[in-house]
Amino acid sequence: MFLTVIVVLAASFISVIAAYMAVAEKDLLTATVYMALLGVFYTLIYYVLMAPDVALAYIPVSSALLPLTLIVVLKKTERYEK
Amino acid sequence: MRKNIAVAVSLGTLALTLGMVLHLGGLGVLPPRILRNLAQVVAANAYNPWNETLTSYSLNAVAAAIWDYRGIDTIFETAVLFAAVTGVTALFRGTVEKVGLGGRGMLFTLKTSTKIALLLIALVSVSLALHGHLTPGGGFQAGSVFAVIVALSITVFSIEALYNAGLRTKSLMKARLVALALILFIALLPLAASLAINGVAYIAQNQAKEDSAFAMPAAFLNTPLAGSVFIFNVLELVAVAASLSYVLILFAMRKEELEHALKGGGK
Repeated sequence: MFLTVIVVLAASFISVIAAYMAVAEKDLLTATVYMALLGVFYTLIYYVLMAPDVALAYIPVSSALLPLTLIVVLKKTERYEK
Repeated sequence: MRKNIAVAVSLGTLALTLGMVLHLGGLGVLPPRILRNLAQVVAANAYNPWNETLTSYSLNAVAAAIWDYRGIDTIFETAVLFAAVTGVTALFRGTVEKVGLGGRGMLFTLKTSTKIALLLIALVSVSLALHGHLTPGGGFQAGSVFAVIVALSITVFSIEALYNAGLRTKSLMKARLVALALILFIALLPLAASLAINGVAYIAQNQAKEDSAFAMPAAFLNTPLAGSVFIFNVLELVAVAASLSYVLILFAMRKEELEHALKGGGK
Protein backbone atom coordinates (compact mmCIF):
# COMPACT_ATOMS: atom_id res chain seq x y z
CA MET A 1 0.00 0.00 0.00
CA PHE A 2 2.76 2.44 1.05
CA LEU A 3 4.95 1.31 -1.87
CA THR A 4 2.03 1.87 -4.27
CA VAL A 5 1.68 5.49 -3.17
CA ILE A 6 5.46 6.07 -3.46
CA VAL A 7 5.58 4.60 -7.00
CA VAL A 8 2.53 6.59 -8.13
CA LEU A 9 3.91 9.84 -6.70
CA ALA A 10 7.38 9.34 -8.23
CA ALA A 11 5.94 8.37 -11.63
CA SER A 12 3.55 11.34 -11.66
CA PHE A 13 6.40 13.71 -10.68
CA ILE A 14 8.58 12.52 -13.59
CA SER A 15 5.65 12.46 -16.03
CA VAL A 16 4.72 16.07 -15.22
CA ILE A 17 8.35 17.10 -15.87
CA ALA A 18 8.35 15.15 -19.16
CA ALA A 19 5.04 16.73 -20.20
CA TYR A 20 6.31 20.27 -19.59
CA MET A 21 9.60 19.57 -21.39
CA ALA A 22 7.70 18.14 -24.39
CA VAL A 23 5.72 21.39 -24.66
CA ALA A 24 8.69 23.73 -24.08
CA GLU A 25 11.26 21.94 -26.28
CA LYS A 26 12.05 23.64 -29.62
CA ASP A 27 13.62 20.54 -31.21
CA LEU A 28 10.48 18.52 -31.95
CA LEU A 29 12.35 15.22 -32.28
CA THR A 30 13.49 15.56 -28.66
CA ALA A 31 9.94 16.52 -27.72
CA THR A 32 8.76 13.24 -29.25
CA VAL A 33 11.21 11.33 -27.05
CA TYR A 34 9.84 13.21 -24.01
CA MET A 35 6.33 12.11 -25.03
CA ALA A 36 7.42 8.48 -25.19
CA LEU A 37 8.95 8.88 -21.69
CA LEU A 38 5.63 10.34 -20.50
CA GLY A 39 3.84 7.29 -21.90
CA VAL A 40 6.17 4.88 -20.09
CA PHE A 41 5.51 6.52 -16.71
CA TYR A 42 1.74 6.66 -17.36
CA THR A 43 1.89 2.92 -18.09
CA LEU A 44 3.63 2.40 -14.73
CA ILE A 45 0.85 4.34 -12.96
CA TYR A 46 -1.87 2.33 -14.73
CA TYR A 47 -0.18 -0.92 -13.77
CA VAL A 48 0.29 0.03 -10.11
CA LEU A 49 -3.32 1.25 -9.86
CA MET A 50 -4.46 -2.26 -10.94
CA ALA A 51 -5.52 -1.53 -14.53
CA PRO A 52 -3.31 -4.03 -16.45
CA ASP A 53 -5.72 -4.03 -19.40
CA VAL A 54 -5.30 -0.29 -19.90
CA ALA A 55 -1.53 -0.59 -19.38
CA LEU A 56 -1.31 -3.28 -22.08
CA ALA A 57 -3.17 -1.07 -24.55
CA TYR A 58 -1.10 1.98 -23.58
CA ILE A 59 2.39 0.46 -24.03
CA PRO A 60 2.29 -0.08 -27.83
CA VAL A 61 0.31 3.10 -28.52
CA SER A 62 2.45 5.45 -26.42
CA SER A 63 5.91 4.00 -27.01
CA ALA A 64 5.76 2.80 -30.63
CA LEU A 65 2.79 3.92 -32.72
CA LEU A 66 2.50 7.56 -31.59
CA PRO A 67 6.29 8.32 -31.76
CA LEU A 68 6.53 6.70 -35.21
CA THR A 69 3.62 8.79 -36.50
CA LEU A 70 5.14 11.97 -35.06
CA ILE A 71 8.61 11.19 -36.46
CA VAL A 72 7.14 10.59 -39.92
CA VAL A 73 5.30 13.92 -39.69
CA LEU A 74 8.54 15.67 -38.61
CA LYS A 75 10.47 14.08 -41.47
CA LYS A 76 7.92 15.32 -43.99
CA THR A 77 7.70 18.84 -42.52
CA GLU A 78 10.24 20.59 -40.25
CA ARG A 79 12.24 19.42 -37.28
CA TYR A 80 12.71 22.74 -35.45
CA GLU A 81 9.97 24.96 -34.08
CA LYS A 82 10.47 28.66 -34.84
CA MET B 1 17.00 25.28 -21.15
CA ARG B 2 17.85 25.67 -17.43
CA LYS B 3 14.77 27.85 -16.95
CA ASN B 4 12.60 25.16 -18.57
CA ILE B 5 13.91 22.51 -16.18
CA ALA B 6 13.28 24.77 -13.19
CA VAL B 7 9.67 25.42 -14.29
CA ALA B 8 9.17 21.70 -14.97
CA VAL B 9 10.50 20.65 -11.56
CA SER B 10 8.33 23.22 -9.78
CA LEU B 11 5.26 22.00 -11.69
CA GLY B 12 6.19 18.42 -10.74
CA THR B 13 6.51 19.44 -7.09
CA LEU B 14 3.05 21.02 -7.28
CA ALA B 15 1.63 17.74 -8.66
CA LEU B 16 3.47 15.80 -5.95
CA THR B 17 2.10 18.04 -3.19
CA LEU B 18 -1.45 17.82 -4.56
CA GLY B 19 -1.13 14.04 -4.77
CA MET B 20 0.04 13.78 -1.15
CA VAL B 21 -2.77 16.05 0.07
CA LEU B 22 -5.28 14.00 -1.91
CA HIS B 23 -3.92 10.78 -0.45
CA LEU B 24 -4.18 12.12 3.12
CA GLY B 25 -7.82 13.10 2.51
CA GLY B 26 -7.27 16.86 2.53
CA LEU B 27 -9.33 17.47 -0.64
CA GLY B 28 -12.52 15.75 0.47
CA VAL B 29 -13.54 12.21 1.41
CA LEU B 30 -11.77 9.42 -0.48
CA PRO B 31 -13.99 6.86 -2.29
CA PRO B 32 -14.64 3.69 -0.25
CA ARG B 33 -12.27 0.75 -0.77
CA ILE B 34 -15.02 -1.89 -0.91
CA LEU B 35 -16.39 -3.32 -4.18
CA ARG B 36 -19.54 -1.59 -5.37
CA ASN B 37 -22.70 -3.60 -6.18
CA LEU B 38 -22.17 -3.73 -9.95
CA ALA B 39 -18.53 -4.81 -9.50
CA GLN B 40 -19.65 -7.49 -7.04
CA VAL B 41 -22.16 -8.90 -9.53
CA VAL B 42 -19.58 -8.98 -12.36
CA ALA B 43 -16.85 -10.48 -10.15
CA ALA B 44 -19.20 -13.15 -8.80
CA ASN B 45 -20.62 -14.15 -12.18
CA ALA B 46 -17.79 -13.77 -14.73
CA TYR B 47 -16.84 -17.43 -14.20
CA ASN B 48 -19.59 -19.18 -12.24
CA PRO B 49 -20.64 -22.64 -13.48
CA TRP B 50 -23.38 -22.76 -10.82
CA ASN B 51 -25.23 -19.76 -12.23
CA GLU B 52 -25.62 -20.74 -15.86
CA THR B 53 -27.94 -17.92 -16.94
CA LEU B 54 -25.63 -15.06 -15.84
CA THR B 55 -22.10 -16.40 -16.30
CA SER B 56 -19.90 -15.88 -19.35
CA TYR B 57 -17.30 -18.58 -18.47
CA SER B 58 -14.56 -15.95 -18.80
CA LEU B 59 -11.92 -15.89 -16.03
CA ASN B 60 -10.94 -12.33 -16.97
CA ALA B 61 -13.78 -10.18 -15.62
CA VAL B 62 -12.78 -7.23 -17.84
CA ALA B 63 -13.07 -9.34 -21.00
CA ALA B 64 -16.42 -10.67 -19.74
CA ALA B 65 -17.72 -7.10 -19.29
CA ILE B 66 -16.27 -5.87 -22.60
CA TRP B 67 -17.44 -8.63 -24.93
CA ASP B 68 -20.35 -10.24 -23.06
CA TYR B 69 -22.17 -7.99 -20.58
CA ARG B 70 -21.47 -4.81 -22.62
CA GLY B 71 -20.91 -6.50 -25.99
CA ILE B 72 -22.95 -4.04 -28.09
CA ASP B 73 -20.87 -1.11 -26.75
CA THR B 74 -17.64 -2.76 -27.88
CA ILE B 75 -19.04 -3.59 -31.31
CA PHE B 76 -19.89 0.10 -31.74
CA GLU B 77 -16.37 1.05 -30.56
CA THR B 78 -15.01 -1.21 -33.28
CA ALA B 79 -17.30 0.61 -35.70
CA VAL B 80 -15.76 3.94 -34.57
CA LEU B 81 -12.27 2.62 -35.39
CA PHE B 82 -13.64 1.43 -38.75
CA ALA B 83 -15.00 4.92 -39.49
CA ALA B 84 -11.71 6.61 -38.49
CA VAL B 85 -9.65 4.36 -40.77
CA THR B 86 -12.17 4.94 -43.57
CA GLY B 87 -11.57 8.69 -43.10
CA VAL B 88 -7.81 8.19 -43.47
CA THR B 89 -8.43 6.13 -46.61
CA ALA B 90 -10.49 8.97 -48.10
CA LEU B 91 -7.72 11.45 -47.25
CA PHE B 92 -5.07 9.32 -48.98
CA ARG B 93 -7.07 8.34 -52.07
CA GLY B 94 -5.01 8.22 -55.23
CA THR B 95 -1.80 6.89 -53.65
CA VAL B 96 0.18 4.44 -55.77
CA GLU B 97 2.53 1.85 -54.23
CA LYS B 98 5.87 1.97 -56.06
CA VAL B 99 8.57 -0.67 -55.62
CA GLY B 100 12.18 0.20 -56.47
CA LEU B 101 12.51 3.70 -55.04
CA GLY B 102 15.37 2.61 -52.82
CA GLY B 103 15.50 2.41 -49.05
CA ARG B 104 18.18 0.14 -47.61
CA GLY B 105 17.23 0.29 -43.95
CA MET B 106 19.62 0.31 -41.03
CA LEU B 107 22.79 -1.62 -40.15
CA PHE B 108 23.01 -5.40 -40.56
CA THR B 109 23.43 -6.07 -36.81
CA LEU B 110 20.41 -3.93 -36.01
CA LYS B 111 18.35 -5.76 -38.63
CA THR B 112 19.24 -9.17 -37.21
CA SER B 113 18.49 -8.21 -33.61
CA THR B 114 15.22 -6.61 -34.69
CA LYS B 115 14.21 -9.85 -36.39
CA ILE B 116 14.50 -11.69 -33.05
CA ALA B 117 12.55 -8.93 -31.29
CA LEU B 118 9.82 -9.07 -33.95
CA LEU B 119 9.34 -12.79 -33.35
CA LEU B 120 8.92 -12.16 -29.61
CA ILE B 121 6.48 -9.30 -30.24
CA ALA B 122 4.40 -11.52 -32.52
CA LEU B 123 4.29 -14.21 -29.82
CA VAL B 124 3.20 -11.68 -27.17
CA SER B 125 0.51 -10.32 -29.46
CA VAL B 126 -0.99 -13.70 -30.36
CA SER B 127 -0.91 -14.90 -26.76
CA LEU B 128 -2.61 -11.69 -25.60
CA ALA B 129 -5.47 -12.44 -27.98
CA LEU B 130 -5.71 -16.19 -27.38
CA HIS B 131 -5.47 -15.76 -23.57
CA GLY B 132 -7.65 -12.65 -23.52
CA HIS B 133 -10.45 -14.44 -21.66
CA LEU B 134 -8.10 -15.95 -19.04
CA THR B 135 -5.52 -13.23 -18.26
CA PRO B 136 -5.43 -9.43 -18.74
CA GLY B 137 -5.34 -8.57 -22.40
CA GLY B 138 -7.74 -8.79 -25.29
CA GLY B 139 -8.28 -8.11 -28.93
CA PHE B 140 -7.48 -4.40 -29.05
CA GLN B 141 -4.31 -4.74 -26.98
CA ALA B 142 -3.13 -7.67 -29.11
CA GLY B 143 -3.88 -5.79 -32.32
CA SER B 144 -1.96 -2.68 -31.31
CA VAL B 145 1.00 -4.82 -30.16
CA PHE B 146 0.92 -6.54 -33.57
CA ALA B 147 0.99 -3.15 -35.32
CA VAL B 148 4.28 -2.45 -33.48
CA ILE B 149 5.81 -5.11 -35.77
CA VAL B 150 4.95 -2.99 -38.81
CA ALA B 151 6.12 0.19 -37.05
CA LEU B 152 9.51 -1.35 -36.22
CA SER B 153 9.85 -2.86 -39.70
CA ILE B 154 9.25 0.52 -41.34
CA THR B 155 11.97 2.17 -39.25
CA VAL B 156 14.55 -0.64 -39.38
CA PHE B 157 14.01 -2.41 -42.73
CA SER B 158 12.35 0.50 -44.67
CA ILE B 159 8.91 0.42 -46.28
CA GLU B 160 10.45 -1.14 -49.39
CA ALA B 161 11.17 -4.35 -47.47
CA LEU B 162 7.52 -4.54 -46.37
CA TYR B 163 6.40 -4.32 -50.03
CA ASN B 164 8.88 -7.04 -50.98
CA ALA B 165 7.58 -9.23 -48.13
CA GLY B 166 4.17 -9.05 -49.79
CA LEU B 167 2.44 -6.63 -47.41
CA ARG B 168 0.20 -4.37 -49.51
CA THR B 169 -2.39 -1.84 -48.36
CA LYS B 170 -5.02 -3.58 -50.45
CA SER B 171 -4.61 -6.94 -48.71
CA LEU B 172 -4.59 -5.24 -45.28
CA MET B 173 -7.84 -3.49 -46.21
CA LYS B 174 -9.36 -6.82 -47.23
CA ALA B 175 -8.29 -8.51 -43.97
CA ARG B 176 -9.80 -5.65 -41.97
CA LEU B 177 -13.12 -5.78 -43.82
CA VAL B 178 -13.37 -9.58 -43.50
CA ALA B 179 -12.63 -9.44 -39.74
CA LEU B 180 -15.23 -6.70 -39.17
CA ALA B 181 -17.83 -8.58 -41.20
CA LEU B 182 -17.12 -11.73 -39.15
CA ILE B 183 -17.52 -9.76 -35.87
CA LEU B 184 -20.97 -8.63 -37.06
CA PHE B 185 -21.75 -12.18 -38.19
CA ILE B 186 -20.85 -13.63 -34.76
CA ALA B 187 -22.93 -10.93 -33.04
CA LEU B 188 -25.96 -11.72 -35.20
CA LEU B 189 -25.50 -15.52 -35.17
CA PRO B 190 -27.85 -16.07 -32.15
CA LEU B 191 -30.66 -14.32 -34.04
CA ALA B 192 -30.25 -16.61 -37.05
CA ALA B 193 -30.17 -19.67 -34.77
CA SER B 194 -33.31 -18.55 -32.96
CA LEU B 195 -35.11 -17.99 -36.26
CA ALA B 196 -34.23 -21.53 -37.30
CA ILE B 197 -35.75 -23.13 -34.17
CA ASN B 198 -38.40 -20.41 -33.70
CA GLY B 199 -37.18 -19.40 -30.23
CA VAL B 200 -35.83 -16.32 -28.42
CA ALA B 201 -32.24 -15.03 -28.67
CA TYR B 202 -30.39 -11.74 -28.20
CA ILE B 203 -27.80 -9.87 -30.29
CA ALA B 204 -24.22 -10.69 -29.13
CA GLN B 205 -25.59 -13.40 -26.80
CA ASN B 206 -22.84 -15.60 -25.38
CA GLN B 207 -24.25 -18.17 -22.94
CA ALA B 208 -27.77 -19.45 -22.38
CA LYS B 209 -30.23 -17.02 -20.76
CA GLU B 210 -33.45 -17.71 -18.82
CA ASP B 211 -35.67 -17.68 -21.91
CA SER B 212 -33.11 -18.70 -24.52
CA ALA B 213 -31.13 -21.92 -24.76
CA PHE B 214 -28.65 -20.70 -27.40
CA ALA B 215 -25.03 -20.94 -26.14
CA MET B 216 -21.58 -20.58 -27.67
CA PRO B 217 -19.01 -23.29 -26.77
CA ALA B 218 -17.96 -22.68 -23.14
CA ALA B 219 -14.95 -25.00 -23.08
CA PHE B 220 -12.56 -26.66 -25.55
CA LEU B 221 -10.82 -29.85 -24.31
CA ASN B 222 -11.24 -28.85 -20.63
CA THR B 223 -9.87 -25.34 -21.30
CA PRO B 224 -12.34 -22.51 -20.63
CA LEU B 225 -13.13 -20.89 -23.98
CA ALA B 226 -15.72 -18.31 -22.84
CA GLY B 227 -17.71 -18.81 -26.06
CA SER B 228 -17.97 -15.66 -28.16
CA VAL B 229 -15.45 -13.75 -25.97
CA PHE B 230 -12.62 -15.85 -27.42
CA ILE B 231 -13.89 -15.55 -31.00
CA PHE B 232 -14.38 -11.78 -30.68
CA ASN B 233 -10.85 -11.38 -29.22
CA VAL B 234 -9.25 -13.22 -32.15
CA LEU B 235 -11.29 -11.32 -34.76
CA GLU B 236 -10.56 -7.98 -33.05
CA LEU B 237 -6.83 -8.83 -33.20
CA VAL B 238 -7.06 -9.20 -36.98
CA ALA B 239 -9.22 -6.09 -37.41
CA VAL B 240 -7.11 -3.77 -35.22
CA ALA B 241 -3.75 -5.10 -36.45
CA ALA B 242 -4.79 -4.68 -40.10
CA SER B 243 -6.28 -1.20 -39.52
CA LEU B 244 -3.27 0.20 -37.65
CA SER B 245 -0.72 -1.35 -40.03
CA TYR B 246 -2.70 0.06 -42.98
CA VAL B 247 -2.66 3.57 -41.50
CA LEU B 248 1.07 3.32 -40.62
CA ILE B 249 2.02 2.24 -44.16
CA LEU B 250 -0.06 5.08 -45.63
CA PHE B 251 1.65 7.60 -43.31
CA ALA B 252 5.14 6.28 -44.15
CA MET B 253 4.67 6.44 -47.95
CA ARG B 254 7.34 8.29 -49.95
CA LYS B 255 6.84 11.53 -51.89
CA GLU B 256 6.73 9.77 -55.27
CA GLU B 257 3.89 7.54 -54.08
CA LEU B 258 1.84 10.43 -52.72
CA GLU B 259 2.26 12.77 -55.73
CA HIS B 260 -1.06 11.89 -57.34
CA ALA B 261 -2.92 12.13 -54.00
CA LEU B 262 -1.40 15.55 -53.24
CA LYS B 263 -2.72 16.92 -56.57
CA GLY B 264 -6.26 16.11 -55.48
CA GLY B 265 -6.59 12.37 -55.96
CA GLY B 266 -9.31 10.76 -58.03
CA LYS B 267 -8.94 9.10 -61.39
